Amino acid sequence: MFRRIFAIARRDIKSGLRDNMILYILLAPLLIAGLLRAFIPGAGENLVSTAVVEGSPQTLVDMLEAHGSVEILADREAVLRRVRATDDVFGVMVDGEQIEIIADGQEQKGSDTMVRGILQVWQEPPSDLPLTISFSDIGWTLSPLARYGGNILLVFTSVFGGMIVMLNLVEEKQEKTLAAVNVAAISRLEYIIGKGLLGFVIPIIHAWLILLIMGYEGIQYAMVTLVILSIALISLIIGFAIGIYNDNAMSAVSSMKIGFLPIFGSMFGAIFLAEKWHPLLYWSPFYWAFRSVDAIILHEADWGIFCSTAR
Amino acid sequence: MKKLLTTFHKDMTMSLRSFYLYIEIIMALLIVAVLLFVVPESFTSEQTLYLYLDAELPDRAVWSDLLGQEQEDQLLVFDSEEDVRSALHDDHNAMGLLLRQDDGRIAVEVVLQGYESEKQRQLMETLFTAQQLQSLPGFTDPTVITRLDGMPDGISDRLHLLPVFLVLNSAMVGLFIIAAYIYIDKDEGTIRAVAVTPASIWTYLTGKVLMMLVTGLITGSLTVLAVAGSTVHFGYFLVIMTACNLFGSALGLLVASFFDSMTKSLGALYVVIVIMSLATVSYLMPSFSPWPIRILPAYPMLYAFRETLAAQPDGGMIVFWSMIFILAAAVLYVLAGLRYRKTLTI
Repeated sequence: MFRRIFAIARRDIKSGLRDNMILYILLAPLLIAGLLRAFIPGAGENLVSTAVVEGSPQTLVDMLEAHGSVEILADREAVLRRVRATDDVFGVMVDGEQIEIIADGQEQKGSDTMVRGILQVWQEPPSDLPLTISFSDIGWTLSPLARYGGNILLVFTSVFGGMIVMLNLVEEKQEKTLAAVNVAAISRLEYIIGKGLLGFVIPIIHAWLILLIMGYEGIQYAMVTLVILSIALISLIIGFAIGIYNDNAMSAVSSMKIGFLPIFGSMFGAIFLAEKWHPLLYWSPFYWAFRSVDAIILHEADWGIFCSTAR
Repeated sequence: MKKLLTTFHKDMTMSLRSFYLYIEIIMALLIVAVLLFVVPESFTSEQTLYLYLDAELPDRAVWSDLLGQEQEDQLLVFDSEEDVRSALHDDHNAMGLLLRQDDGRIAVEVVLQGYESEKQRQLMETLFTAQQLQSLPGFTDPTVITRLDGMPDGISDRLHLLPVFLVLNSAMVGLFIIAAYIYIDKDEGTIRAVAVTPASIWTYLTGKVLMMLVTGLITGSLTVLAVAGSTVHFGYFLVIMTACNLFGSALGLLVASFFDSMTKSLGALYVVIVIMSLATVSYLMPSFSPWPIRILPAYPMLYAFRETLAAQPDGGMIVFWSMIFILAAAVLYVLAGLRYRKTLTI
């Protein structure tokens, strides 16, 4: 039985390797994880991006650089062009005692308040204030971007494995090669397991490697494997359901696109919604997968909670 | 031209028969429902603060106002400094504040998590100082703000989010779907039928691209008009949507041309879409904008769509990016066409 199951899986690997498809699928999420790992430490360095004209006071440039990034441009027109360009950059023009902040107008809420505060302190450095401030920390170095970024990637690749298996089956259905299975010396169950095997194995390899690349410490890999297996199985079932109810690949693919909405919604809801709104997401397996991986990353997961969510 | 119209008409009929267009419209309606009924107009999230107050200091209500925490559950007061630190270990998104009397002054110790950068700490310190400065008697603000879009409060959080859906759902619709169309034609033998007609490969591919354009314009217009109403500059919107949609379809055609089956090409397209989606992270979190993300085509697309929602949009910027995407689409389209000439039997 196992020989026949592995034969089916081996056939898919062989066909995938012929045009390097499996390599692309394997490497792409790892590449994204590598990019995240490389650039996450720089996040938070440029909370305030500004542009000033040449000849602006050096103390102003130093002050702005201490809080973010500064571009020095030729004249006011160049500053206006920079502010209007694609990203969120504020222009700063000093005219005697007055400082003009030039905003495009659609920047993130509150970012102009930050620029305003920096400039007020630069213009009038206070000497004797009633409150003093100092900083300390509890030594937790894992940023929210690293914590959630790796998790989103992990859940998404698990879904992807299931989707690929579903598409393989839809294709076989279209090409009528499924009929050949009926006359082959293999049962339907063996065929389905063989076809689905890669949809489980690839996400597990991905998950382990993504977690390693992201550099999370103290990860319980057995727990991760259980979550990935659960979510890959659910994705496979969703994939089958889409395949059954759609006669052609085009509507199957667009139905799959609709499926992305709850996947993204569950993960972003878990991040951005206040805890009291979370029951609205309890129906979604992707929400639980995301929460489970989050608990593993934060070292809060134990097998009791785990088995109940994986179920 | 007549041949092109016939091919286009055939493709549109096929998309209606296979319910594909209806599914896309349902998707657009779902997005509208999510944006109007789930996403609030303004959803600026405030960090939860864990506070410890020295016995000699005023009570919590005074500090709640001072710290600008409007919601009750965002400011929690603890009995000891240790309790604050312990609570921070349980909630890695929160921040602690320890307030003590120190030689006639109030000493504020901000307890952070540890992942905050030096510049973030510097910014917190400066904004804290600015807040005190503003409350001093006789303070006059030396800053004035000039807003180029003419909107005193900028756009709402909901409208800020809208470009993400416009780009990923309507502008990039062809990227995902156009390959499926071509493989269906291959599988069903339609391509062989086309081969015996006077239609060229270019007519065949243009028909597909136009069908994707109509789909993108219908779903995009539906979404933007329902969510932004009269705020959107519809002319500019149509220009940038057309350019981005053509680019997405041409890119989809080119990527799909390297594979011999729908499944394999969708695998590659899926990877392309996930990479493109990374641009939304930088768009929603500008402090994380590394160059590999800034060079992704979806990055300027998001900002160009946002510009169409301004009171006084920068038309030059929208037209500039539209031209860039149309040029890029033309190059990709020609490359894809040359490849399909070899692989498709037309």
